[in-house]
Amino acid sequence: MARVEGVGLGLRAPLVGDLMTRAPPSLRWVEVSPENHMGRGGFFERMLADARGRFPVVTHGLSLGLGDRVPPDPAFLRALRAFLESVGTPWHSDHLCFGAVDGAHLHDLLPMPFTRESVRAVVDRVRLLEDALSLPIAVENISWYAHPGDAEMSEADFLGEVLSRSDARLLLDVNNAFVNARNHGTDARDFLQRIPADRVVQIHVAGHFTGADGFRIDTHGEPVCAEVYELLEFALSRTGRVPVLLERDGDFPPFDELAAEVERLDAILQRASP
Amino acid sequence: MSDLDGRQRAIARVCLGEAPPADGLALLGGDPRRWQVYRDLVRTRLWRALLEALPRTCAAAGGERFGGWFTRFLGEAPPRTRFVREVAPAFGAWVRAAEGEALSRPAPWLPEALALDLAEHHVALSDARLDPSEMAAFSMDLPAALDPAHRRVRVRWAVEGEAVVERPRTLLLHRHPTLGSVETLELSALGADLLDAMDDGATPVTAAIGGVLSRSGLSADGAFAEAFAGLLSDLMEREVLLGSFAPI
Ligand SMILES: [Fe+2]
Repeated sequence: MARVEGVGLGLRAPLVGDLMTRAPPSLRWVEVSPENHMGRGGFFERMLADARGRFPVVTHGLSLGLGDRVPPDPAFLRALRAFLESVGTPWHSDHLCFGAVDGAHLHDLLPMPFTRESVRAVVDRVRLLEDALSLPIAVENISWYAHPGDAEMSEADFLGEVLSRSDARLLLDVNNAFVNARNHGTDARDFLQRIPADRVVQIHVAGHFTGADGFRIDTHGEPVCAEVYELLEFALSRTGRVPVLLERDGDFPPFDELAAEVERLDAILQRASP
Repeated sequence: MSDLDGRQRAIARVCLGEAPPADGLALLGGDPRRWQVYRDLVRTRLWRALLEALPRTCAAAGGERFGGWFTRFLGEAPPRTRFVREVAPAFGAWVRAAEGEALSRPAPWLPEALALDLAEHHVALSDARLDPSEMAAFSMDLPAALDPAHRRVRVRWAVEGEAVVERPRTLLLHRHPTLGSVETLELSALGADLLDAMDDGATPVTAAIGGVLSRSGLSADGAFAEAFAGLLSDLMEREVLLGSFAPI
């Protein structure tokens, strides 16, 4: 298993040509979503093979819904495990959300209520996945736009409870922390100060969309904003140097712009204590 | 039902229902505009996936009819797959079942537009492949080994500029050997029959040809032999014809 350190970029079809021919030297690894590649031939198969020949791979799931109530299909978990082993990922991450209800998949990151029942559901799911996949599971904090019903705790406490009751690692999304703080009138630094920094194995940064009413949506379709760079620096001051991933999923700019973002992230990362 | 189940089901109904249900919004609480954000996100992602996979179907049906199907599909039979790429085939199957015979009215080419879209989607994504240990170099005396990812679609209609005209033919869709893009080869009626006969994985090519020729009352003259050799070499170049199945 290759060592994953420094700055990575999400492997996306529109980026792969540039990624393979003129990636900046500070780009050290790629993040791959198994759901985009499993059981899929053609271009996506070749893209993954090319990327694996050049970069270490970390996997990031889209569909395990750590808050889903229906157990995942065992056949899918076996196929996922084989995929994760084949790419040699050091851990597998997915989101602290739900995505399927009664067998219907909504294909989005839907918000869990911050309740004790939710904590139990996620902790059970993490254990199940650790057993099925034989890998550490990292949970990612999401952008959430509304809270379903009454909360019994804050988001930071919810995350803390999940981590204290399981072996899960944390994939800390700094952009999501920022988006939530702005949308809900809270303090992102306070959130970052309250999460267990020693459990963070990876950080995500991304751009987001700001509507006319000031409400922010996590799109991964814009450049990373100045406040998120500052927040990253703050997060790294707590976690020490952990791998940082730039997420870009839409409205792809000229590759040089993404390369400049990667370089800027690397400069911030190099300033952090090891 | 647990509290968590109830809240998750309410979110699902708000996102997938024809309209966000008032009781669901009441259970979730907060600003309904924020639940509308989730509804928009869920529906936009799925809508885009369908438009991308089924452009001919949407053009043939018209946006309003296609949008009506989308609304009913989400409300009645939302996707049960975790793979976004499998939503379009599920939607296509639902449309066929829901519309039945009515699918070909008023545009009789709509069913084949859907078939063609789904075939192209399949060819682009399929990971079907042959086991190299079962294959041999191409021989007329062995069954032909064709790339299982390719699709042949018999169509009656053709879009020519703004018009749709009747022009029966068979389209062979396959992946470009190096680019991975989906390419289309138009087959003659005889070429299509020959490939149908050759593609059962069991009949030697000579026997498959013989059957087709005798059924169509044709003879294997020099012109036929030349045309057939041309078809085979084209299919080999396109990596649709991969060789033969080795004798067991
Ligand atoms: Fe993220």
